Amino acid sequence: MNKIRANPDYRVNPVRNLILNSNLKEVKMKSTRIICYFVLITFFLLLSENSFAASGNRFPKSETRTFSARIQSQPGNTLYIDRTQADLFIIGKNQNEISAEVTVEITDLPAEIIEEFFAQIKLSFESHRDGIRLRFRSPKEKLVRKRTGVLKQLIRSIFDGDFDDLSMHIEFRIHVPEKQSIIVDNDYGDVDLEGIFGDHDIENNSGEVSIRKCGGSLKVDNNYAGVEVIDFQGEVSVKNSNGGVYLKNIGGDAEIDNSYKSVEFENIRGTLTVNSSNSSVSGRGVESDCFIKSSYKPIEVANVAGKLEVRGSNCSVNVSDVKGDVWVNSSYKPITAINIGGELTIIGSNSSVDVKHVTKDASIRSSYKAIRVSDIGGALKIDGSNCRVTAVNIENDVEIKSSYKDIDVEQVGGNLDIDGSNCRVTISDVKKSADIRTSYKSVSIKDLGGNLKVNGSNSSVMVDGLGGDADIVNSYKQVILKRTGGSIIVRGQNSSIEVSAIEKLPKESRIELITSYKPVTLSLPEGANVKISAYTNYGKIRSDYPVYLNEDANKQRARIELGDGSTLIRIETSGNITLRKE
Amino acid sequence: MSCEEYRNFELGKTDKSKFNKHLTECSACRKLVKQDEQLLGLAGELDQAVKAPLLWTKIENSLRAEKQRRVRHETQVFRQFPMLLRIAAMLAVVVGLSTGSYFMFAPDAPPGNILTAEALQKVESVEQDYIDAISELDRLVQPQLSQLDFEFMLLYQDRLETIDSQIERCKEALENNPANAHIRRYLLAALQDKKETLKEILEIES
Repeated sequence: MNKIRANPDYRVNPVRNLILNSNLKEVKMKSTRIICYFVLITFFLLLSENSFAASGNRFPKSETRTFSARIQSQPGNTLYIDRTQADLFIIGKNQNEISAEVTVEITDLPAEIIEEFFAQIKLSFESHRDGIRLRFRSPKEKLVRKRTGVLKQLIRSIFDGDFDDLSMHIEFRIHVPEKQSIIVDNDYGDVDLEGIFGDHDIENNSGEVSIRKCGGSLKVDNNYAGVEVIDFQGEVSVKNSNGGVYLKNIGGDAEIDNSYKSVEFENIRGTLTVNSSNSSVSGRGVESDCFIKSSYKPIEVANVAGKLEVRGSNCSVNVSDVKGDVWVNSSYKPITAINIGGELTIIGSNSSVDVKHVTKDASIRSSYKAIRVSDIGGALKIDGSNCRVTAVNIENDVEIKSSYKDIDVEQVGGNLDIDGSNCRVTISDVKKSADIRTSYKSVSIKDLGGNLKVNGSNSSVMVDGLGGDADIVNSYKQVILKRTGGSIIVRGQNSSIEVSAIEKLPKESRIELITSYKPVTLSLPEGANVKISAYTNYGKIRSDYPVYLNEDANKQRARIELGDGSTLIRIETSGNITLRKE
Repeated sequence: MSCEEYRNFELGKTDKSKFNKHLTECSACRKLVKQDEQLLGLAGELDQAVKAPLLWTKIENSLRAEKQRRVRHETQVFRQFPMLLRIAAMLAVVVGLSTGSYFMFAPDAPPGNILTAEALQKVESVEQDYIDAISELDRLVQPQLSQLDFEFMLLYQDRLETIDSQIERCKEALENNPANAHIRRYLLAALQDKKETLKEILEIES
């Protein structure tokens, strides 16, 4: 009998089994992964924990106790803290008492030794001179005092034992009335003052000193660590051997004496005096005069309202924006001065000098390095030995002395005097007269308003534009003059002379062109009123004008008269003479 | 009355001819056969299932899809969890490694105000290294110092004297306070300074 049998095509069980089996596999895989992650996490957590636990062993072990004391103190008193080797934090508060808290940290030793040590510590205040003295006594201190001198070893043997291996660190936190003078004599600790007004005297050794928002007067004597004074309303004097000094916002005069580390300052309302050795000095903002001395390190000063004096030995010097006079002395390093309101004096030895914008006179001396000057409101004087000199835009007279290097001058409002030995001289746009002495190098002049005097041995002379008279003495090199406006006297030795484009020949003026062995060429403007006397031996005379010629053996003499002959011209050479009509 | 023959026939243990012969003798089996016939008759009145083309394939596909949905659903948590686990594991690895490395390989924690015995030993060792280096440099510098330009010579002599006095002061202070970190720091600074100064002098010469 047929029954309703299961459709053989509907294979439910195998598929379900397949699904179930697949899930099972995945679950197994995932479980394995979870277990692996768990093991991994546990391992590293344990590792970290051990590391943390282990790290606990690395931190220094020491014992610390705190002691305190307090005393009434009226504002205006003095607090003495001396013979300490501690970090001192002293803060001014609006209160009429001094409270001190000292934290003593010592080496980790057996408990009974530690207890005994701390039990012997005493912190107290006592009257002293005109104020109060903070006394800190410890057994260690007694040992130290007893160990000085000849008996040191004997004392050590007597006291050898518990406290001998004990090391100590002390920190004081002291609150004082805001008006209190602080006198400190401390070693091997940092000293920190804040918000206290009084006459402070801080002596410290090998620790940082920091004074903030205090006032009155301050004297600091420190060494081998930095001193920082910020926002002090009053005068400050800092001595710091082998330590840096930083001053900012000082209400009065400031004085610094230090060595081997930097000095920095900012905003000093009084006079600033820096006496450093081997220290860099840099800062800005001095409302009065400023005096700086240092060596072997850079000096940089800006914004001085008064006068500035810098003495640097082997220092590069950079000064700017000084309202008063500036005086700089240095060597072997560059000197720069910009925006000087008063007079400028620079004395450099082997120093390059750069000067810009000086309101008054400038005087510069240096050697072997370039001197560059521009925009001087007064007169300029330069003494450079072996210095290349460049001077531009000088209002008044200019005086330059140098050797072996070029001298370039432009735009001078006054007279110009150049004494160059072996210097090439180039001048342009000088309003008044010029007097130039040089040798072996050329002289080039353009647009000189006044008279010109040149003495150049072995120097060529080129003039283009001369308002006054020319008086030139030279040898062996050419002389060329153009656009002259006055008398011309040229005495050359073996120099060719050429004069042309004469702009003006005043009445009573004269032209004397005298040389030897070389030709002379003179070009005269139309309508010249001249009386010419030309003489040559061994040369020829050529002329665009009718000339009365007198020949005698090798000599030729010519005379020419043009117009009213008001200007006398005399030409002498042993070379050719050429007279041209322009 | 029960009879096993009908059951045996259904299970295929008895063939049809033998069963038909039994039917003639057994009323119980005849009754069961009659019931079967009635059921078949009733079944015949039902709509006949139409054999759809690719039926099995369709069923298989739908089952597969259902499986995937189920797997997706079932593994959703696992999918998130492993990702979280991975992230957590990675974080744990990173934190554990870095923390472990830091404490195992990083330099000691900066010294406090009092040096431990271990730290003191290290510092003294560094100081001795400096002293040895200074001794060697000093040996090289001394003959040449006098040959320097006079100004330089004075400058460096003064500087070395300043540093030497600082070193002496620190050593004196350390006699009574050997583990004081502050004094040790300044002694080290002075030794460093001296070494640098001596090197500077040698460089001038070279």
